[in-house]
Amino acid sequence: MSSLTFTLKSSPAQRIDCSLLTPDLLTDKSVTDIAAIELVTGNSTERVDSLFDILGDDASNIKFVNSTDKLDFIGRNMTLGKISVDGNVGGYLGLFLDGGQIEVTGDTGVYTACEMKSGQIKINGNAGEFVGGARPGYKNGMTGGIVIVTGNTGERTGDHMRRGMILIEGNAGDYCGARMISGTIAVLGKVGAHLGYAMKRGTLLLTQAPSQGIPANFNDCGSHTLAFLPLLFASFAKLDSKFSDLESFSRVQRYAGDLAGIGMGEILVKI
Amino acid sequence: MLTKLTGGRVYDPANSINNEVKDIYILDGRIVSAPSDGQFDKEIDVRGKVIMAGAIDMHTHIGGGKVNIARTMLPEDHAADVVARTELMRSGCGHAAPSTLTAGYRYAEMGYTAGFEPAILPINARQAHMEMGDTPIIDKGGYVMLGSDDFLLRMMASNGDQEAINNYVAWTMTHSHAIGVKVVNPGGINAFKFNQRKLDLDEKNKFYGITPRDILLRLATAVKELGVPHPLHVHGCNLGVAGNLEMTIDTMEGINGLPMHMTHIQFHSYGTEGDFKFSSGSAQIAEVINKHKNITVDVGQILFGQTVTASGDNMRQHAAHPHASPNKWVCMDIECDAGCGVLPFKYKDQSYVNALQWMIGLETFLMVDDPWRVFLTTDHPNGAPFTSYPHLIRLLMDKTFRNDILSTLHPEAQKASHLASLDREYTLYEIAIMTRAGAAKLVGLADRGSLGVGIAADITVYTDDEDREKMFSKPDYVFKDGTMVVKDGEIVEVTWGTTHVVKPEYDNSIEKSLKPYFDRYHTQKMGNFKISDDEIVDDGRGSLTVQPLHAGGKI
Repeated sequence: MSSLTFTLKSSPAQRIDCSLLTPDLLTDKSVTDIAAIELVTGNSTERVDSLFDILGDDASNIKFVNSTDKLDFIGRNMTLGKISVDGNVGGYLGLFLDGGQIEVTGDTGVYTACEMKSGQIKINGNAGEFVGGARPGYKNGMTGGIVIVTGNTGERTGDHMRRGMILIEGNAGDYCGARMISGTIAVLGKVGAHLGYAMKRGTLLLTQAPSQGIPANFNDCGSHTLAFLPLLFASFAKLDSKFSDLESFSRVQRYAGDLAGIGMGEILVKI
Repeated sequence: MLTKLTGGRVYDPANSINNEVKDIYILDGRIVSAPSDGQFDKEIDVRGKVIMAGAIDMHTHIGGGKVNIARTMLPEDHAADVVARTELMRSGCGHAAPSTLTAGYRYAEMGYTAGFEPAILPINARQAHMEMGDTPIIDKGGYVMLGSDDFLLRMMASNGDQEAINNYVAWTMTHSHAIGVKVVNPGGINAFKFNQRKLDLDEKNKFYGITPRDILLRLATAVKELGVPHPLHVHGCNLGVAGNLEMTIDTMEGINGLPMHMTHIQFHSYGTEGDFKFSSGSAQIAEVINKHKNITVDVGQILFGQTVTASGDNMRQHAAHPHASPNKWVCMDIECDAGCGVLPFKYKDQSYVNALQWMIGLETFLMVDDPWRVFLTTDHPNGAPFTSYPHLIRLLMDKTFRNDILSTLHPEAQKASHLASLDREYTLYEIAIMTRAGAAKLVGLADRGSLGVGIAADITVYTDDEDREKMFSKPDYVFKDGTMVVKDGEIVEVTWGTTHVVKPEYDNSIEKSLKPYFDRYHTQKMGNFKISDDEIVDDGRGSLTVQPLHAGGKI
């Protein structure tokens, strides 16, 4: 059994909705059946085999090759197996993901890991806006699982995030942790303006102090030795990420906010 | 083209026709008498089928700012109910707050041919008419909302005479293209702006010193003196508050015999008895309605499930916001006119309060004797979406079905209601009264709601079925102005209905005080506020139908 591989034939003019190509939906399907699936692209539909060359038969391990930022909804509603993408992807990667793994070698578009429930997403590039967020108008973003971004994230990372972890090895854009309800975002690089804007609860863990200072809506609670931090770092050990090599620390400066709301969120900055 | 509907069983309460086999002829959008030569161009065999006029929803929130807020706020409502486009129909979405096009199609598919938006803020009237203009097939119209507007309250505070108030009401109706006047939580929306969070019938607005009772009397008098056929449409004080029953009775009795329509009365019929301090007041309410012939009501039945409540009553919506489900809500002031509140709501059959609300609504239907004075509504979308009307009709017509559902509800609520002992079952004739003839009479539509000669050919044909829900959700044919728009429950042609209005007469001197008021306080100039006929007629797709005023009015 070799992994089921979809190689994009040519750079598509229109966006392609790839939500039908997940391990859950393709297990037990023959290659002929898979080839005949109609994918929505632009304002019409096209057969999978007119868009992709199909190779292999192991639907629990799907690969997209030559992927571009036009491929949306990869891994939507997936609960098991693995999807690997060679190239960039479009919006809504891992929407409602409820198990399994997704790995992307390039960059992702908006709403990566949107309303994700469980599982793991690793992006070996940059992620767009609203990583782990909620769809427009919805109340709860990501509710579980782990997202690892080796590059940078766009604005509003973790918007309305409810649970789970977003680990950013590069920088986070403006409004990181905005409207966050709970969960953990850790950033090794820099963060943008308006950190934790309208944050309710949850933790923003930074290894370096924000260059523009802490927002006025957060209150300095002094320096602390937090015993849970070494445990948290220990839990990173199994991850394929810089976070697994991070030297454990427990001394942090703690800031509580957003005080314009209930103020139960925290920004922890390594001392 | 002369079309003949042959051999249907006709229910036409406007002409006292109850289940008579009768042929109906349609020519150029109107119902005509049988041709003397017996010749016709097309015959549709409807032998054994039930024929009624097209149904009229006299209270449904289908246009205006608050519906758009509901649409914007509830993407989940849309995501869960997506309608693809067809060759004939455009795409749409939404269960509780459907898009304008989808609302029109769904109404027609159920045999409805008219719907009236009950809360058009004068300042938002253009937006409301635009949305209704985009609602296909059905006829539209609206009641303009007064009673919390600063101009009226100023006039009343300075003891302005009734004549001036009549002029103001007529002027507003004319320029916002309304067919009636609605008052929501009389003066309460204005009092909310002065930080009052409740307002009883005889409680004064802190700033103006005016009470809701004053406002109701003034407006009901104005509506009567202007000859507007639709009585003052009243959403009373203290909606949804346990114990509001007495105030509702006081409101009905205190109007001194003036015509008044109490809307969604179910939400105003609550007592405070029992362990839960929440009980049914429907018996007392129904008794007062039965006694006072000047009062009409619609029920505002709740049905279980997810919906959204959209109301001009920001005072009560603000108080109800902890119950929003999902947890998000909007309340706003709207210029000097009024306000609005929108919050999603899920009625649960295992909640004592919701179960009792369901029973109170049905008790009201069953205990008000005169079907000409009680109307079938769910206050769409506040009690339930309008698509649940066939289910509601079955609840009214089928005692066994009703009691089967009743027995599954919250047990304490069952004990608190005597619904199970009510044996009444509505007849088809009574359903035709409350959804057709009575509704047309109440709204003031002279040429609708009947199958008489000369009346617009809005006709619905059903296959008689013991399962009334099935029967009323899928008519065999629906004709709108003589055009067959639905066949076997499916849309076959998309037409565009008219907008019904009245044009009461007024003295233009009212503009002398209105113009500086608009200049000083409003975001629009008075000239821009006035909606021209052309805006509604649009490119010819819409049209205006001016309905006659009552005799006794000025014309």
